[in-house]
Amino acid sequence: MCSIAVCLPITKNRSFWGITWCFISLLSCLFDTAAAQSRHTISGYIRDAGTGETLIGASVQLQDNASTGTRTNSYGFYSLTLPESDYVLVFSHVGYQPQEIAIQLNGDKPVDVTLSAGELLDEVTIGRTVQDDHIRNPQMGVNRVDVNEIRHVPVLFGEKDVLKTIQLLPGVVSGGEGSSNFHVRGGAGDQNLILLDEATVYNASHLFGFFSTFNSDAIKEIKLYKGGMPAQYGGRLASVLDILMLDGNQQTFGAQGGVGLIASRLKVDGPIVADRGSFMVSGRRTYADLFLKLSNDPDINQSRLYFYDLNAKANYRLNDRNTIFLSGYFGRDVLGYSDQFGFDWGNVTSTLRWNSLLSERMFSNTVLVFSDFNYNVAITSNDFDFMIASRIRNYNLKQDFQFYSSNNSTLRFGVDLLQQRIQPASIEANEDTPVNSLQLEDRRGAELAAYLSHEWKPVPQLSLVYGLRVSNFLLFGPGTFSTYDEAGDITQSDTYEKGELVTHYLRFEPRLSLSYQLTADKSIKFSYNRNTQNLHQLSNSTSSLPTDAWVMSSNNIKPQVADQAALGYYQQFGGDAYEFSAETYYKYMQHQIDYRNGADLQANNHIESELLFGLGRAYGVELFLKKKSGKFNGWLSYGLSRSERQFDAINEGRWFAARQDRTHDAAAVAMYQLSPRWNVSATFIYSTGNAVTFPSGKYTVGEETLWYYTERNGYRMPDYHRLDLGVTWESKPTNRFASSWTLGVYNAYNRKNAYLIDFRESETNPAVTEAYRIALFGIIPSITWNFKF
Amino acid sequence: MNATKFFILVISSLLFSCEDVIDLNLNDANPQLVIIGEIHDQADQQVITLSKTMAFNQEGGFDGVSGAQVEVTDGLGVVHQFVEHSPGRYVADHFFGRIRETYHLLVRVDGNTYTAVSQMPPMIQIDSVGTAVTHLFGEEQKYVAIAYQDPPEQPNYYRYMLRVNGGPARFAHAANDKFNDGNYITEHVGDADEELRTGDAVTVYMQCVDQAMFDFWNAVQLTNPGTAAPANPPSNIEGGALGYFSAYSMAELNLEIK
Repeated sequence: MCSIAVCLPITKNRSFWGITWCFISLLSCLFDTAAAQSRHTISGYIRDAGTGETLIGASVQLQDNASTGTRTNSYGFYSLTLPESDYVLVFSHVGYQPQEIAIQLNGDKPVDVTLSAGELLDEVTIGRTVQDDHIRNPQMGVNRVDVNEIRHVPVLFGEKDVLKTIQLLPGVVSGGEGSSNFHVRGGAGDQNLILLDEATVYNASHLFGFFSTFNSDAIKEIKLYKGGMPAQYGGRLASVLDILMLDGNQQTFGAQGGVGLIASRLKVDGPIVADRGSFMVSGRRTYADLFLKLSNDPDINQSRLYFYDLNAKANYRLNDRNTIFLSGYFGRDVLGYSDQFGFDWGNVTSTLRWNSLLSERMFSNTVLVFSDFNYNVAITSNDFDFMIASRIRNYNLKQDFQFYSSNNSTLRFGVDLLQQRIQPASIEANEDTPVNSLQLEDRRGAELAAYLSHEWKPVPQLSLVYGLRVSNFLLFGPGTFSTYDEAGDITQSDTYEKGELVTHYLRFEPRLSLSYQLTADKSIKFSYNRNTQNLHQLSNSTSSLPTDAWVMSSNNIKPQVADQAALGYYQQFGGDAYEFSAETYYKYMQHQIDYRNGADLQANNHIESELLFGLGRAYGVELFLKKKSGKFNGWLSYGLSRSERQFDAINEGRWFAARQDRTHDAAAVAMYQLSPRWNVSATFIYSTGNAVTFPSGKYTVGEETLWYYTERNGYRMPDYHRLDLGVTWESKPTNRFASSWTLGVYNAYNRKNAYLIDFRESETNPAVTEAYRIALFGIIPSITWNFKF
Repeated sequence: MNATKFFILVISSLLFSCEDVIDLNLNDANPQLVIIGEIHDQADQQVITLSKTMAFNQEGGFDGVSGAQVEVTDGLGVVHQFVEHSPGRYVADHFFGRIRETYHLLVRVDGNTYTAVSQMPPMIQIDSVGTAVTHLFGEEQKYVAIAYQDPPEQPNYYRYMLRVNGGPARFAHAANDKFNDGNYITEHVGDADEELRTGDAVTVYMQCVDQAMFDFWNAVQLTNPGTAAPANPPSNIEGGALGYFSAYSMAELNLEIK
């Protein structure tokens, strides 16, 4: 209570640091209450026995009282504080053999545990000991995907792709045929926060969305939050996709790789110093361009068309309490035609992370991140020679503390300080080029956030996480900042000096999740969260282009805000072989962005004058049934939803369906192990088509036939459905070498799903107009060879 | 410069796309008035058309609106009455457009009034006209190349119409000087549907237009199947009609493709 009183006068002066200080004083109150009884702490890391990789979300519980326990955090650390006594602890994790350890708890005990990957256990015995997160964890709206678990899911061209696999989950819809872009619960593509080892990835796709930038070989785990985001995450409205890279094998050197139709991959990992540190380097490159080299035409054989990714990570344990990690990603797409046209784009991220145990109960994670996305276009000809370049980058410092105050109470608090700079598209032209050089002003901003959340189990049936994130977005000079009227004309222009504050937005984001356990295997959960967003991507095409402009919140653009409430029912059965969930949500979004008709988003100094602001709402039901173990596993997912927008200047102010609104979206994923060496799999997808704008009439101007549009997104693309099949054969493994062949068939029954529908005058009779569709992928077989030694 | 076109080219050549005509059940919107008014300086006859939008599946393209009062007033207050020659086609004879003159359009039809204003920009000096050849993926493409000096320190808008071998004059391209203001410019003008061949007799109409005309045709040329939210091109006509009213100066260029 003491801290609340201190809090109020400070929040009045709206000082960011004041609020941070307020959190800390609130914390110190909680610390005092926790330290009262005679208790001791068991803490440590849980790792894979074979590779030394830390295990995320592994469970620790008492053998005789399964409801007392904890889980490892994202770095494999756990801490459990119990009264002085003798205990038998069970350490377990999905896919691993559980381990029991007897402990005489008479003082703080560090206990590091390694678990061995288990053979596929038979369905009856599995699970009894595994504490089920699905039921107890108050977190809802989250899907965890183990990369190993999805390795048999068939995919386009045989290129494993986590961003395509998450589209098979309820509440996540694909950005289009073959696309790695995704929409969560009716949100826009730019409303997903995509983190790779805690670094923001600005552009998560290669080749206009057909491949994601995430090479599955390098990834340990992905977690997708669709709602109820924990307070440590912020900055986007719709989702958080948290991707963690593998640390690398701590014990032995190894290599694995694959050769596919589109790309080849190679990963090397091993210890730096045995059991103290390891490294991992993974690369991937496409080779479609090698076929171009076969052409006799010099324009074609000098053309370039490829992308590559490089992931690298190293970690080193300084001592039992401190570990440092350095990880990076470097990827680039390169397109070029002869020497006339060049276009390349890509991301760079790097993360320096320091895990430190301040005490048995206090875990600290300090992260320093750099992230950059840029593109360059070069155009050269006899009388042309110019370049277009654009860049967005950030520096980010995150300090996160997890304080395990007791076995039913964990505090998490920290700060997230981000500095961001956007260099909009600029043109650099040679002297005698008939194009002028053009330099748009850079935009600089900072997002300073502090958060506090408390995970608390007041009674065994009830657990909750409640918290608050406070973010302050600041927009700085130098530059000229204009304001615009309704029609988009300038009303005022002000010039700011370097470092001068143009505007700022302080936002409070409350977060709450709670679960109530009805029985040992049933629970209900509720969550509410508010998220804000200060970085917005402007795109008026259906495909995502690397040239889509980024803008920050400004004097014209208010932060986007979303409030989401969700209610869910969770059940497991057959031991924990099956899990079922039903979630329903309602989301209300403010300050959504759309564009004026004919908006000019290219290198426009007054791009903000082209924007329209409005409201959004999305609601739906999501059903998910998953079979997690046994020879046969997979899942069924179904979403029934609606996502709508309202802008005064569009559709005469009436609500209209967002493009990504899909009434029904269903997926079935099945994987079956026929024998130890044969695996078969199938995926079936069905969804309502996107909402689209089609003409409702036509007219003639001179010789041209033009289409008459009456309503935004008033039509539907045809329903989409597709079946994919896969079969994997693993060669007889020897001590040193293992390999496998995967055959895949994408779109097995050759459904002509419409990629786009357009309209034209008939070639045979120009007086007649007709609609035609373009289907992108018919039946596409693929073959991939993977190896490991 | 147009990277989008390049993407589409690359993607469609890379991927295994297939195309077919489909039946779509499109709504029949209430017919909407379309006014296309053009005043130029190269003839003593001006034409304004009034038509209604028609259902997508209806055959034919022009549903003229008869019985309208159509007049254009110039800056001196002279009123030019337009007479209906055929359904929806209104003509004023002995009416030469003059550069820098401001014209006011008035249309009365079915009890509604529509107005618009346009000022005719001066014609720029064309330096040379010839044939240009480019190579893309081993294919030769021919264009009409028009070289001219863009006037500096002011926005300029251009529209190009193309007539090939005595066929109809069709819209070819709209341009502005956003990225090349004040430069010596060589514009390539080609036919979107049909490639130009050696020996083709070609007429290019180069027009200096106002912003409203550019915005209309620019919206038309930028709308492609990948546009997220296609919409009607912006109209400068008050009163709620589609189309535009624009005064422009023009040069007619005749040549044979080499």
